Amino acid sequence: MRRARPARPRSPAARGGEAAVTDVLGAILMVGITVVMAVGIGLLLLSFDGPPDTQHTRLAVTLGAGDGVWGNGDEEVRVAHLGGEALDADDTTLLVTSPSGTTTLSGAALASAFADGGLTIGEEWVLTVTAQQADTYEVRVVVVTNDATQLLAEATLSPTAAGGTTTTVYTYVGSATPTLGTVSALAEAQSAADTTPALLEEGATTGTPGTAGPAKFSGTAAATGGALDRNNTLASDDARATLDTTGDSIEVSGFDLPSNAATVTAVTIGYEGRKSANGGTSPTTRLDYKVGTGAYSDGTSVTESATSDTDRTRALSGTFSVADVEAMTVRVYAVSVATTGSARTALVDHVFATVTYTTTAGTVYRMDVILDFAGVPTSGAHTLDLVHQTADDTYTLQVWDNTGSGSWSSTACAGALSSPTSLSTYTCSLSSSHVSGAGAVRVRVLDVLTSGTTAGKLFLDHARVVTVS
Amino acid sequence: MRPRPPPRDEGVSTVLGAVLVFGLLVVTLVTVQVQFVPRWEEDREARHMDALAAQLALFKADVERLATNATGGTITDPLSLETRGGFGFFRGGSGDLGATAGFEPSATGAGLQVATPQLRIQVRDGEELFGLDEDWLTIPSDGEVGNIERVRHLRVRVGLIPGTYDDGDSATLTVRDADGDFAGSAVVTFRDFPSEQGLQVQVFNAANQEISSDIEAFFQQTQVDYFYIDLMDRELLFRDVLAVTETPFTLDLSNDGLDADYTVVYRDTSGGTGGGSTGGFLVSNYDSTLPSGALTIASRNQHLPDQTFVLEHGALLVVQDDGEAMLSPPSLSFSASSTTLVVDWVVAGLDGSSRSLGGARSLNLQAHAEGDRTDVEGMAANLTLVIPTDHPGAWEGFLADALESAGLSSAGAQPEFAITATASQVEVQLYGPVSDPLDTTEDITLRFQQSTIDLDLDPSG
Repeated sequence: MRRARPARPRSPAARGGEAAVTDVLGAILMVGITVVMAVGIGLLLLSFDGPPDTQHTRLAVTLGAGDGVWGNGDEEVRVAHLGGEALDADDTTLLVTSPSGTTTLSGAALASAFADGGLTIGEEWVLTVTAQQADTYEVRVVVVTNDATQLLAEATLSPTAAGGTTTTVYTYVGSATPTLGTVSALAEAQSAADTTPALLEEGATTGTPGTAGPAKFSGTAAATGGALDRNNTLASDDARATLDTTGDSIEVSGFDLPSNAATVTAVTIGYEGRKSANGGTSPTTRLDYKVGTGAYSDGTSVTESATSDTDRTRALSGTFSVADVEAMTVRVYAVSVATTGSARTALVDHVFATVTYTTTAGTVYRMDVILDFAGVPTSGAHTLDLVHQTADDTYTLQVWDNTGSGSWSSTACAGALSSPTSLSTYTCSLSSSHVSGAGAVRVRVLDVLTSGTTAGKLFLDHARVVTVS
Repeated sequence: MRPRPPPRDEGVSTVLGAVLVFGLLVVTLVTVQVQFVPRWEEDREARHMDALAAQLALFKADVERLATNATGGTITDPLSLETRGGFGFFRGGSGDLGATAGFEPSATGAGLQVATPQLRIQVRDGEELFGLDEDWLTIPSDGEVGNIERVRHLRVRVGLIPGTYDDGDSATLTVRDADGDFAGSAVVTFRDFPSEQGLQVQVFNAANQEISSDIEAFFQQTQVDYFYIDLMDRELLFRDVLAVTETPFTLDLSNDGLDADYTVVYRDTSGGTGGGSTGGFLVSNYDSTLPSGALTIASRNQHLPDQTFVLEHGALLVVQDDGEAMLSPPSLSFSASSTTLVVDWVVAGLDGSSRSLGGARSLNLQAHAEGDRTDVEGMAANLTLVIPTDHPGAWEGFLADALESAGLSSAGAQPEFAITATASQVEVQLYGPVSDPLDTTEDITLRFQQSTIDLDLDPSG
């Protein structure tokens, strides 16, 4: 079956030209709409800004210790520009989060290397802070432009991570408390920057009877009984007297004891000498003594076989007073000196008397000063560091040990401070028990020569505890 | 006459649509080219700069490893000189500019310089030289050496004076650990036998159990001044005792009748060298000059600032028109205590023919160690480092920062260090903690490894 054809519209000509109006209008509208849409889409495309303009800058964010010591307020958070585009201060915000809070800086407030308007290659922005050893800092660098907000760098920093190596803290002496003696210009010991020292000086006090010696005393006069160069026996100086004939002798007297010597408890006489050469027949000698003008008490014979200076001694029995010793004459007597063959003579360098005695009480100069160090870090390895010079005495140190109820330890810092001619450095290691929980270290300075009759001095260029962690 | 066909307008919208679509395509492409491509180019240039920096940093690490290991092999590291990537249609001109590479050796006789009026070389090429110049100290009755991290040299000598000693006279060296506990000991004892005499060395561990005993006998007529005992001898096992002792430990020396001396060299907790003896080989007017040139990679960017990378004396620098910075510092470090400044420096000096290379997409950096190598550890009172460079600002900044971070100061009449920069070099004077220039205290420990590395640039694409 054939379908009926729809009726075709009549041509415009057939309708007298009116029918075309609709077509034309339709076409115009269609074109207009299309053009408008195309222009709209085109404008939309052309107005698109594209992707955000990313900031391409290499930054290094670090936390530094300033002068190498943490916690003294000169620590620095640093943002270094290591290449790429410059950072505009107006676009940059820095957020520094420390234990005390977050600091937000932008624009002119950034200051430092941003003061000229931007951060360029090689420049370093610095923020000075106080960073303790255990602190943690977070740093964010944010760039805000019209396009976008970009987190350019973010770092979490701590002193340990930032340092990477050992950290040294110097804690200088804070105060000094003298029990015996005086302290002046302590501030000079609180800095290593100069060589002007603080002075610790011994104070006068009444001494106590005590013991001294055994001390070796030389004679002041020598007589000869045939011996050559008798005066060479008054000092140990490698200049020697010679006993080259049997029966030769040297008589030395004038053994002067200190004025505070009270009683004598032991006396040993002796000489330092040797034979004239190796091998041969060794001479035989004897040590005799007498008090005042009395008769000699002869000793036993000794074969002088030593080829280098050797002490020959005789301990005296009996009781002697100070006056007895000072009136004593010591004789070295040549019992036998061969005169034939490879004979050897006896050479005597020094005749002496070694005396142990008690002392009387008198004015002596003593030192007992406590140095206090506060704020010492409780962790790390501690070293006591004293740059010092001494005069007329030497000094020992005690360190307060906090173990139990606490006590002074004389073994932690052994040895003596003895440097009479120039500044010298004394160091000793402190253990954790020497640093209190509050970071206190106490060091006690004591003089060695407790019976000194002149005021000894200890100069301290600096006194500090060095903590390495 | 044939009738005129009726007008048809179907093609109008098709053509118009096509024209408009084409127009939109053009607009889109123009938009991409104008708005997107510059950003992509900038990103690509940034990636290329980062890649160059990473490749050069890797090369720096490789040559330093070559220098410290003293191997004879050759290393080859690639270097990308172009920024290719993405569709070529959208790529601007910058990707085709590439980078240029060049190497300029140091002038003959010039280079990196380390100098000091006197260097006490204690270790050279791994050999310890402490025995060459020992200072002997009499063992006191209460002598103590503390703060020891590692004992490096320890000898005892006993004066042999006929007729002086009795059987059983001894000298003892006691080790106490960081807590002060007994950790071991070495005891030297004189033995008087009927026909001969001898010295016995016994070593005890922390439990005070004898772990070694050795005796050296000699006839009574033997005429020698001293008998020497190296307590670091492996067979004595005393070094084993020291090795297991908690640090820092203490050596306590005492004698009981023996006329004995000792010499000791140790590394303390600050890394410096301590002890009663410094030992070593004294070299006057020590002056080491290492040929050390500069490898330069210059990249010309269109969007980012032009960047030139310079690898010289172990440091990687980046240079732009507006300044320069040290991108990767040299292997040069400073650490200081109150008594010692320790300078650690590993440097690979680049040497080879002067080269300049451009137009290649990539190249290979070939390097191998050549000539003599220096590996010394020594002590000096002061030290001079001279670094020839065209970029003194970056070097000066790095050195000042490193030295100040170590706690040293350049201020005052007697600074601990001083830096002088000119247009062609940076000179560092190190005086150490004992900063008096006239003081001869050897307060600087120098650990210095250097090697000349022959460099060749080989175009690879």
